[in-house]
Amino acid sequence: MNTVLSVENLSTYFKTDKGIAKAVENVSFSLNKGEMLGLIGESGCGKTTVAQSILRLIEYPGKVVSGRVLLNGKDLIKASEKVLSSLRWKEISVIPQSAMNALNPIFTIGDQIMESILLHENVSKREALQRTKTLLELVGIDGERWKSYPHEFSGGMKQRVAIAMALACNPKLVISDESTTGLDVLTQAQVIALIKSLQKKMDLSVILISHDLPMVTAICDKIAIMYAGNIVEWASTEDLLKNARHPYSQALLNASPDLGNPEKEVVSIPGSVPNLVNFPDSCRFHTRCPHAFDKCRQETPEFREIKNGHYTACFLEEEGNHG
Amino acid sequence: MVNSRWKKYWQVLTSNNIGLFGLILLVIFLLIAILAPILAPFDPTDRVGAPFTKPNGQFLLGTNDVGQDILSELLYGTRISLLIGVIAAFISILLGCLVGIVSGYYGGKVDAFLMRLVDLVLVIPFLPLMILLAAFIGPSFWNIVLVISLISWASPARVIRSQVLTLKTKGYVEAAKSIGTNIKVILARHILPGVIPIALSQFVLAASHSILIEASLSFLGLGDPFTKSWGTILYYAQARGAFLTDAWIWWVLPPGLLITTLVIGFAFTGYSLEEILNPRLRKER
Amino acid sequence: MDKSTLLKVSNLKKTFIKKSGTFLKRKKTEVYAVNNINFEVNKGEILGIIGESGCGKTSTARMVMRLMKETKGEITFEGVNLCNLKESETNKIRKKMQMIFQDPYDTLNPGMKILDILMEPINAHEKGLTYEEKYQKVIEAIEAIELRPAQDFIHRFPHQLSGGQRQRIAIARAIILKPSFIAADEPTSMLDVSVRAGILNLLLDLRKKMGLTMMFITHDLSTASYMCDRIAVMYQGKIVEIGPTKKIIQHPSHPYTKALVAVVKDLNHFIKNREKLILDGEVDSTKEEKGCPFVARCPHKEAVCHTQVPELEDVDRGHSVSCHCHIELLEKTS
Ligand SMILES: Nc1ncnc2c1ncn2[C@@H]1O[C@H](COP(=O)(O)OP(=O)(O)O)[C@@H](O)[C@H]1O
Ligand SMILES: Nc1ncnc2c1ncn2[C@@H]1O[C@H](COP(=O)(O)OP(=O)(O)O)[C@@H](O)[C@H]1O
Ligand code: SF4
Ligand code: SF4
Ligand SMILES: [Mg+2]
Ligand SMILES: [Mg+2]
Repeated sequence: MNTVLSVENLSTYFKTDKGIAKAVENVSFSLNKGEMLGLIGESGCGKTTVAQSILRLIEYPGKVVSGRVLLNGKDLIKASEKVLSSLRWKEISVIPQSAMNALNPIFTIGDQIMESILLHENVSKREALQRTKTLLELVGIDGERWKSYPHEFSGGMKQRVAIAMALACNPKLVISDESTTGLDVLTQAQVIALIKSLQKKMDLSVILISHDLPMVTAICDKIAIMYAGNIVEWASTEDLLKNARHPYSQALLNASPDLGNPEKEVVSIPGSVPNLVNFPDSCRFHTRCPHAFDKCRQETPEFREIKNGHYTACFLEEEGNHG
Repeated sequence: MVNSRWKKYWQVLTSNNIGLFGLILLVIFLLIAILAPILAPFDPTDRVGAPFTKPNGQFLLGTNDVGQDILSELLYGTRISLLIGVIAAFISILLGCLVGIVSGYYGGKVDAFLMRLVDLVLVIPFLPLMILLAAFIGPSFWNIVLVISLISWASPARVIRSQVLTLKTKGYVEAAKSIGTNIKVILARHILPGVIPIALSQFVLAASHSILIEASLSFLGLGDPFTKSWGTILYYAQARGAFLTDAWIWWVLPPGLLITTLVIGFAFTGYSLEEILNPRLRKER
Repeated sequence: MDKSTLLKVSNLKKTFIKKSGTFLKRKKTEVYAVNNINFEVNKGEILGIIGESGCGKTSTARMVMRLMKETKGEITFEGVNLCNLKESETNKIRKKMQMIFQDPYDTLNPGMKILDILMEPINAHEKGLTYEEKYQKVIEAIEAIELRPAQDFIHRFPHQLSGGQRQRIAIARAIILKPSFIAADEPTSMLDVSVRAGILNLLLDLRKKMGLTMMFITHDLSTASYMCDRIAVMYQGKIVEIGPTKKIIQHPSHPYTKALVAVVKDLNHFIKNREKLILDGEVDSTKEEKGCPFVARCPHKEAVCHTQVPELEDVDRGHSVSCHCHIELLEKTS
């Protein structure tokens, strides 16, 4: 299989008044062609920071302090701004959380999609318009509506336009950063269905960032679970559902009710997410982990492969005394 | 939290150069007002020198038409100007709070009526009205205060009403209502604490307006002739022709400068208080 | 009225005036936030109200709690019609009915200590108690919501608590007077997944211990199925389906409910059969439909749906649906 994106030991820190916030620490994962990876975690755990680090969009007071982001073997962290701007849109693009941020209210949506095509590719205006219409049809909007302004569309339709825009220059990799959060359940499902079908049709690689575990487990091939700046487990969806190894993953799976299983008793995770500023060497989950022992409070567990393609960072695995 | 909130206001106020400058000016004027008997070389009501004496070693700013020391008059005048400004501002803020809170919280017809009243007061050209009022009820310290208050409660009422409208939509106000807390308690516990800081900044601004208005009235001869404020001093200077002779340098200029400085002191403090209380303004800096 | 009915809502309506158009051509349209709904909450049960945002859930709760005046309709609580009460009488009733709000960051006054926040209901309704008795009640309430030791919390300000802890304090404030009815408006929607379960279990626990009756509002079907005995599904200000949770989940009968259940039960199935479950319609709530409110998105619509408003009809002992075609649909699926 060919790897499209490979993130290796990525760390991104933010300078704050109170010290250094290690928002993303030592994160590694990779993505194959045509694969859909779900990046899951509670708000503030660093999902957006990971996405922005991949695209090199981190701005002061943040900084990528170490690690590599290989896109088809090219390191984006070291790439020049010129190379980067040639890669954004054409190789890798983002569907933002809020379509309002992506769409300018004073231009027609057609103009906006066309502009992003013309800016990145050497094509005639007519061709760009033709492609814009095709793109709109692709996301289920009548191509002739390219003359509409954003306010004439409902929330779900605006989100579709944002998707069309992200696909404007035929990228190979699309990152969707909570692009359906805030939409109604049905609209959200419709947008997700659209992303899924486009992924299949265009053989896209997709990173689907979300905090909705049931949704992600339903449609992603692989899942990476983040907690407080770390990826604590990364596995195929099947492995994760059947055999989650990290205590946080297990807790998360037990935290939300399941419609298919009315007998399931949901359990919350005691305590709250720790402050990431000046976080000491230790497992970041130790303050809430039911299995924590001395070593967890003093050392950081290594993120390693425990089974073919199943990675986790927990001392229980090293001790071989899981349970 | 309450304490730390005030501490934060204090920090922002003093870290802001304009606010600090305004505050220092106010403190200086307050000290002058309090220490007037010590600072003033003479009793301002005594005829201590020859009329129209030019400034010299004894009378630093000369004497007026009846031989009273102008410097002492000015120092004592600080008391009157400051007092009228502060009392009038206090009364207008009190009125403004009452109208603003009632109007904002109860809404509906009461609100509509009160806001029309506010509009009315705001659009009336105030100087002619005041002259009329002051002339009608006669010049005295309290009448001046009354006239100023009647004119200047409207603008604070409006600001406070809009603050109450924002507070009213806060979840905790709705929660208090759903608990069954009665309106008086809601107003006292949840609304008022959010209004006081705004009222404070409005008070400072109102004080600066009041001082100006008082000076204008007194200059027009509608001030209390027995309690000489800076405006009254200017009135006499004008009446005795100081504007036409050299005397304007020591008889007209000093009270004018004092009025300007005091107004600036209040205005600077008020604007930076407003900035503290309006986070949107603060961020823009 | 049935003896076991605690709350009865009849023909409840709420309209808002929406202004639109340019300065010169001002148009005023009536928007139905809640459009003629009927339901009952029986003693001891939890009735869930689910629906997408803007469908009128909060407005319904606020009218029941007398925080908003209804345009039309009746709300009967313990046999008393709340709509005709005077302000002082309403305040008295409030001792028995309390509300938990959606936003835990907004619902507690940031300038007040937890102790004072929890004293507020007592001061409003049980003025006669001594300070010690009041204090004791506060401690008991904090312990009931599982924040221990209680003494650690009473002198804190809300900003010193996490979101989940704040929502617990809001719950404590709601139960401190031992009410018989609680309306909870999406109490977990703004909390992290990991603390949600705790709040849900706490509410279930309190209901058991105190015999509470609840109206539980949520937009999440799985949460509703976990919490509620019965579920009412709202769409565009109307109740389109109501019935026991089990029936709603296993035999959803309204096309909207069907789509909802499909999404939550099996997303892949939904993705594969999307066109059969829901259409991409645009919904304009300002336009008063002559027919069914769901018609723009309904894959089963027929001619009659455009012209006639469907009524809520009982299909199976306590399970009611408002759809012209539910009978055919039932036959098609079974
Ligand atoms: N501009 C910033 N300044 C300081 N800290 C930041 C900034 N942006 C993000 N962070 C920190 O990074 C952490 C992760 O944020 P984010 O990546 O947005 O999380 P998520 O997308 O998972 O909700 C947060 O806890 C926050 O403290
Ligand atoms: N105070 C208000 N003024 C005008 N419209 C309102 C007001 N409150 C609610 N609405 C409208 O009523 C409808 C229902 O709102 P709401 O009851 O809050 O829905 P939900 O809680 O289900 O999201 C929405 O369309 C909303 O815009
Ligand atoms: S390393 Fe220790 S604290 Fe961390 S998850 Fe594993 S057992 Fe828990
Ligand atoms: S009444 Fe018609 S449009 Fe409405 S839900 Fe039923 S089938 Fe669909
Ligand atoms: Mg994010
Ligand atoms: Mg709501």
